[in-house]
Amino acid sequence: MSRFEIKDLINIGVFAVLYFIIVYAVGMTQVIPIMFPLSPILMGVLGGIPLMLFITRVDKFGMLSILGIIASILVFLGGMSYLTVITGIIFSIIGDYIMKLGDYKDFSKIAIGTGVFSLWVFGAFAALWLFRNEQMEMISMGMGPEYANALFSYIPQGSMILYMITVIIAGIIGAYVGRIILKKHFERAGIA
Amino acid sequence: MSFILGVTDNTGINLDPRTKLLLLIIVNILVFHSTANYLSFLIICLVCSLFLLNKKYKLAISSLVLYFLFTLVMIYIIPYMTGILVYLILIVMVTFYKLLPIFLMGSYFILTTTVSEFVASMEKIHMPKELIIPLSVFFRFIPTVFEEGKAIAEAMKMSGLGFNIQNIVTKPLKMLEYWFIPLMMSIVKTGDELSAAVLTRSMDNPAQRTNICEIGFHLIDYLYIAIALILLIMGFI
Repeated sequence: MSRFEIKDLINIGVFAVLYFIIVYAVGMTQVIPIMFPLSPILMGVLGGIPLMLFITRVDKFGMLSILGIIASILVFLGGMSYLTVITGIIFSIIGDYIMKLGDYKDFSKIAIGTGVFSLWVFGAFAALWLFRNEQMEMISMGMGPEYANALFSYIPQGSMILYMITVIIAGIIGAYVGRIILKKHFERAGIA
Repeated sequence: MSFILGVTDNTGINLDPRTKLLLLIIVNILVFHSTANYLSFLIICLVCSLFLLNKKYKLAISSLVLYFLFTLVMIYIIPYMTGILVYLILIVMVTFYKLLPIFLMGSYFILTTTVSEFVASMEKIHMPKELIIPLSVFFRFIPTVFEEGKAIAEAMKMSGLGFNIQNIVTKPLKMLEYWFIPLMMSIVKTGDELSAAVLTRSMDNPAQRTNICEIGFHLIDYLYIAIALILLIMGFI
């Protein structure tokens, strides 16, 4: 084994399962169409619960990155854009690096790192901005091109940045939620 | 998205996992970067033929029906809708419609690949061990999670928190906490036991591991790779 012990790798797998339950449960809410754009935000808030417990067992750089990459590969295999794997690699490594700066102990850095880490799923939702031409065509067909142009001026391409910031904030809230749960349940039970 | 890999019944002709992965990537690229409209129909036909090869007739028919229903809604209903809220639903509908071929291809991958086949093919394409071990732990744990989850749900019924629509709508957070926290405790403990068990089976031995699964490329794999490459070329002309 290179730098990870077998115990670390198994821990990653176990927490990947727990994290994926959250991803899957949030994904189920997408049967209501309006939940589709909201789901990364919900994922960020709830994902904090398993992540905070995972962080207490992390001491090497790369463990969180592997968790994020695995989650993105699984989402890709389940039928999402290949962009998810790319954002999964980028944002989980950045998030991991931010936490590493605080040596996985400094809570403010953990919170920011969790926020950035939550963006791994963003690639799956980038489609909302990538299919603009098709959406425009559909609206033009029904309402005429002026109406479509007016509508799209309200939702510019730049709103993607705003959306990403919202997801980061959701992740930071998730870190706080996770810490509350950790204190309430796990420290008392002696697991954390 | 069903993630119960490994409980599949592999009747009929099955492709190599690597071929499936390549098909998934090509379909992905086509959906996102090609502007040709007829392509999504061809991709749906391709996925259906794959389902038929695996003797999954119901899935083949239902995916075709789903595609046609979506098309009808897109052509006859959507253009006559108005209002800002409808606009939001429209964005999501168009996105779903465009992504449908990928969803179907992904569910084909998940439904027809066993865990050991998946791991064997990952080793063949030289995926790092750091990714393969957590992935196999992941797939090993999914059935355990279902069992434990069911048991915890049973126990919750006793304190009046049964899994029904009324409870999920009125107190979703309480439901989540009372279900997820015990599940986490149990899974983490099982994970610790697993790492002890795995060490006794010398998982940290650096030597090459053997695998009982026979995977390899056959004529049908080359055929599908050829079809996929033709589609890829068609998409960019």
